[in-house]
Amino acid sequence: MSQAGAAAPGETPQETYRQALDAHRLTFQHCRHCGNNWLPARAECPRCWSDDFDWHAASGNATVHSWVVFHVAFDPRYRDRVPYNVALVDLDEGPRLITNIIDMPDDTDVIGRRVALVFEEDMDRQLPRFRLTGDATGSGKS
Amino acid sequence: MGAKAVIAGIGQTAFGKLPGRSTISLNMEACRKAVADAGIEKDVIDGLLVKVPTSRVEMMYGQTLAEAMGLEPRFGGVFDQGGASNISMIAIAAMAIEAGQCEVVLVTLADNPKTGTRQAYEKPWGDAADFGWSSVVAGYAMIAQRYFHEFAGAEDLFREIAIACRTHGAANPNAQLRMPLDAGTYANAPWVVEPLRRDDCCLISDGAAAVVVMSERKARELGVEAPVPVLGFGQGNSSSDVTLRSDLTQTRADVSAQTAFRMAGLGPGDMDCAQIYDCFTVTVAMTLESYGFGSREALTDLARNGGFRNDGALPLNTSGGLLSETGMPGLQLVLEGVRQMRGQSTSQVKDAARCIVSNQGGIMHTHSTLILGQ
Repeated sequence: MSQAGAAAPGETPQETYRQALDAHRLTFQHCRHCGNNWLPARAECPRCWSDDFDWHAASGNATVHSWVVFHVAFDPRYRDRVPYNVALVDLDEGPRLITNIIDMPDDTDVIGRRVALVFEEDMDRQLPRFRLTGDATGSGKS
Repeated sequence: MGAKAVIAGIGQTAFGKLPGRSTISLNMEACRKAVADAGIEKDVIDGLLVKVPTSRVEMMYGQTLAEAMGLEPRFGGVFDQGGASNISMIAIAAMAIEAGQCEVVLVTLADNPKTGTRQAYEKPWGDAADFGWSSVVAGYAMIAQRYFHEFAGAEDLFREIAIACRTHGAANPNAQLRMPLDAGTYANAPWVVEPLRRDDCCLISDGAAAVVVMSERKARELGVEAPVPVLGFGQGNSSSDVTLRSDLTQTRADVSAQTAFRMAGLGPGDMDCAQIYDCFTVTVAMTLESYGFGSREALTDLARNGGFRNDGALPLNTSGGLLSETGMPGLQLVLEGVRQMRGQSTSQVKDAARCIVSNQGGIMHTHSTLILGQ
């Protein structure tokens, strides 16, 4: 495991991922055996099962794959934030992650829209969130 | 299969709020009734398969239940695929019987999230919980949003699915929610997790259901009155969570149905009714498409023309499904399939001779299919 340097590797891939976020870097795993890129963090490549991977830094450019709006807060920490959105975004490098979209417009289908990474301090950590960019709308087929 | 399996008996508890009842007690009531329905004695049972209660997972639950029932089964335990477990356990029972491992198997399910804990349905999802990502309904909403994006008729299809289930539930005296649904009420109901509204979501229910599985030969030997043949079964597992599933609106329900159809030597056009796992309306829409009952457009046309009613072309969830009869994860749909084949449904389909039943679990991680006949 190398690449993306800076953050000291954690005991588990999940910890390594989290430590990079705390340093304001969104990273993903890259398989040195088959070239697959993936998230969420795990110890083996879900395509070829190899445990030989690098951490790569994401560009922060992504496309919205889907999103929802919670009108009920099942998590008490979000009770005074409803309605709030949770989105699934596809990083340009391939991996997909759960996040929130900042300044989400009302009543607009944002699937396929381009978004860019913004770090926000929340929930006692650095959360990788995304903001819609002015870039042309994607196909939504990502 | 040489010795074709049958469902020899069915049993269930009341559905709804059942305070003071453990899942063991609920399982025992459903099993007592299933055994009575089959007209057999307890001592012929040599297999016990049980779905672990979703709301409170515990080790060795199959043995805890066997002990409570005074059974020492040759074959038994828990099988976990979430809601797909039920049909998968019927399939495992049929295969175990075929392989000479046992002869008479009880397959049972109980859960009590309504009076007990709903934590399993509302739980935060690991590291992503910090983004407010929690609950089963939100996972389905993420899939539904994508479905809305891909298909402009989604709202019509979802609404008609909900209305059909609620119509059949209203006719079922054992259903937990017997209030029919109209289009205006559906559209004005509050969002839970957008784009899913209240009436897109299944009930939360206490209850249990059980079936007795044996070979056709054994059923004749024991004088079972109304055995319903198992014509086919299959399963298919998408397995990956939404972050790793390449296409959110396709699951391996297609593989599950193809396996079951191939085993039965039948196709979608041969089915007289369908009991489709309706934890959320989007699940039914996707399952019917995967099963080959038509494109999204064709299904929506069918739905608009009353095709899902019990006198329509594709009668759907004729006891009310998870949206109306009980939110219990799945085995009740098999019971309704059996009643249809026996001509005993409260929304009986005229001359119904074949029924397809789907079960699925997780956020569409697992899927199983059962085809029943006469």
